[in-house]
Amino acid sequence: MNLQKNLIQDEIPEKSPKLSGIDTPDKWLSDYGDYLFRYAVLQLKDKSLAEDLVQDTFVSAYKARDQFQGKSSVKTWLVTILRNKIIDLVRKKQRVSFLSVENFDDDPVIRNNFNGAGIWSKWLNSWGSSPEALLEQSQFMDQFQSCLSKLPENLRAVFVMRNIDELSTEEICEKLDISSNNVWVILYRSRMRLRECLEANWKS
Amino acid sequence: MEEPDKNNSAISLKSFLCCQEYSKLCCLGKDSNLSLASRIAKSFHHLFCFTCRRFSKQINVIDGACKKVLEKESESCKLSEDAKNRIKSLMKEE
Repeated sequence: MNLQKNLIQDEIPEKSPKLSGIDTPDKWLSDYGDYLFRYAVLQLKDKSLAEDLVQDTFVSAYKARDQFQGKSSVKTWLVTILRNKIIDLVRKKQRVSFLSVENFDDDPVIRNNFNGAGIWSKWLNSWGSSPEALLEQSQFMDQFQSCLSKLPENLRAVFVMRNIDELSTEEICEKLDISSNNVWVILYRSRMRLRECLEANWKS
Repeated sequence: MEEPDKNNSAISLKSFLCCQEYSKLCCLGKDSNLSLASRIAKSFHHLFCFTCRRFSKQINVIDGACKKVLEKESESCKLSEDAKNRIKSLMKEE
């Protein structure tokens, strides 16, 4: 509880003016509720747990709303609080499994991609359209989301922190108390698995 | 942040990379600063290997998809009305 309180305080500048006009629970829920829930589900996969953390985020942020200075948007502020709660949870749950990921090649998915000489063992399919056009296709984005949800929890947590939250490697190391090599290997395996999943399931 | 030290066996650099080493550098380059030698070796391989050029494009698509995935609204992933009402009540108690 104290840890959570500290995490919130870390994000809130001192002596800030009260939010004006937007500080009603209804407005917060209607504007940011679904977004925060999607964010939490993407990281945790468990909808019930995601709902609990979103609830906790709204309640603790609302309690501390007088301290919000307005340097960032309310959405960014809420996401930061939620992210810290998720990191706290992931760190407790997954630290041992993060530390075990330290070798680039020690993964069956990666080994299957290459032959003994390190050459691709099979031809890579074209995914069709240009990257920009591909990202506009909702079927592709649905498939991407499905592949992301299939990543093992320890890989997904770090991958989301790096690629969706856009935290630096140093920040991830600090927040999860793991080495930069752990982070790099996790990110490499995540990208290789996502690519493999999209290759197998996406038909252009 | 610099790429992993060669001596820690994370990446072994050679004059000519194989596809597996290219794939590592391609991903690593997104999260750290590659050394000049690594960048040259990677570019050289990229120039001559069609499959790795396709791999590189696919990885860029994956990174691009990450930036869009949260913006996409989904009917199957919404906070339920019950949950919204419960949270509102809790907030109003504060």
